[in-house]
Amino acid sequence: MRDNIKGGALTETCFLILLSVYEPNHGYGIKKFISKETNGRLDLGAGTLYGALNTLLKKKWIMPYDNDEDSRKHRFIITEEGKQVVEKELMRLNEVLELAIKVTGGNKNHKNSF
Amino acid sequence: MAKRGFRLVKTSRLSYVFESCEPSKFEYRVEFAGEKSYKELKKYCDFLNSMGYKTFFKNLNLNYSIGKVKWRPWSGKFASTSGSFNKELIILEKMNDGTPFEMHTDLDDIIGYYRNIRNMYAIVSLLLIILAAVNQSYLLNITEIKGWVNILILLLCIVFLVLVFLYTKIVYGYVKQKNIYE
Repeated sequence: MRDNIKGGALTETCFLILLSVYEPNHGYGIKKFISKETNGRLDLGAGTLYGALNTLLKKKWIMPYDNDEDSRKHRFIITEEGKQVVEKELMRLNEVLELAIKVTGGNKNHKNSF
Repeated sequence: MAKRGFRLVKTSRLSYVFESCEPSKFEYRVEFAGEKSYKELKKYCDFLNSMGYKTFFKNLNLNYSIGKVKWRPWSGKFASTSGSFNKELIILEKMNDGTPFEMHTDLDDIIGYYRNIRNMYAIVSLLLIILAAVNQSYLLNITEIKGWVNILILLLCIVFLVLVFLYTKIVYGYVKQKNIYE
C-alpha cells in the first residue's frame, strides 16, 4: 500500500477490492467480482485477498458489514474515506489515460471515448 | 497423490490419511503459516473455508509436549502446545474445476510471504552459530567430544544457510520484477 510515495497510485488489487465493496460483499464475492469485471485477467489468490482486506480494514477504507443471517460469511463495505481514496485514484487514472491517448493517438480498441 | 485418485482425509504428526476418489478430482496447495499466532491462524483458516477451500494443519517439526511455550523470534510471537505448535503448515484442498489455484498473486504479497520463510531460516542459522560460539568458548578445558558437537552444529547451520540463500534468491527475483510491474 503506497499512498504517500510514487504520486499516490494504488495497487490494482487494492483499487479493485475497493470497487467491489461499494455494495456489501464477502471474500468469495469480491474474488468473483474482480475476475468477472477484468474478464479473467485478474484472479486474486486467497492469501493475497486476505492480506489486502486486512490492510484496507486497518486503514479504515473498508469496514465489516454486520449481517445477522449468516455469521460465517463476513462481509465488507467501503467507508467514506475509502470512497474519497477511490475518487482520487479515478482522477489520477483519467489524467494518465488522457496523456496516453494524446501521445499515442488514441486506442483503436478503446470502448469509451473521452 | 491427487492425480492418482486419493483425497486427503486427515493429517497427524507422523502421517497422512487418504481415501479413494476420482483421479485429479481435487487439487492441493501447501502454505507456510509458522509466523502466525493461534488466533491469526484460526482467522485465516475461517477466511479460507469461507472461500470454499478445505484446510488441514500439518507440522513442520515433530513436537510432543504438554504445556510447552516457545518464543518464535521471526514473528515476535509465542507458540504453545495448545496453540500453534504442529500447525506451521496449512494444506488447502480445492475441487479441480479448471479455475486457477494460486494463493498469492500480488508481487508485494509474494515477496512478504517468502521473506517470512527466509527470515525464519536466517534466525535459526544465527541461533545455531551463537550456540556453536558459546559452546566453543567453554571448549578449552573440556574433552574433545564437545569439538565434534560444534562441527555438527555448524554442519546443520550450513544446511539452513543454503535454504536462506535459496529463499533470498527467490525474493530477489520478485523484487527485481517490481521495478517494472506492480
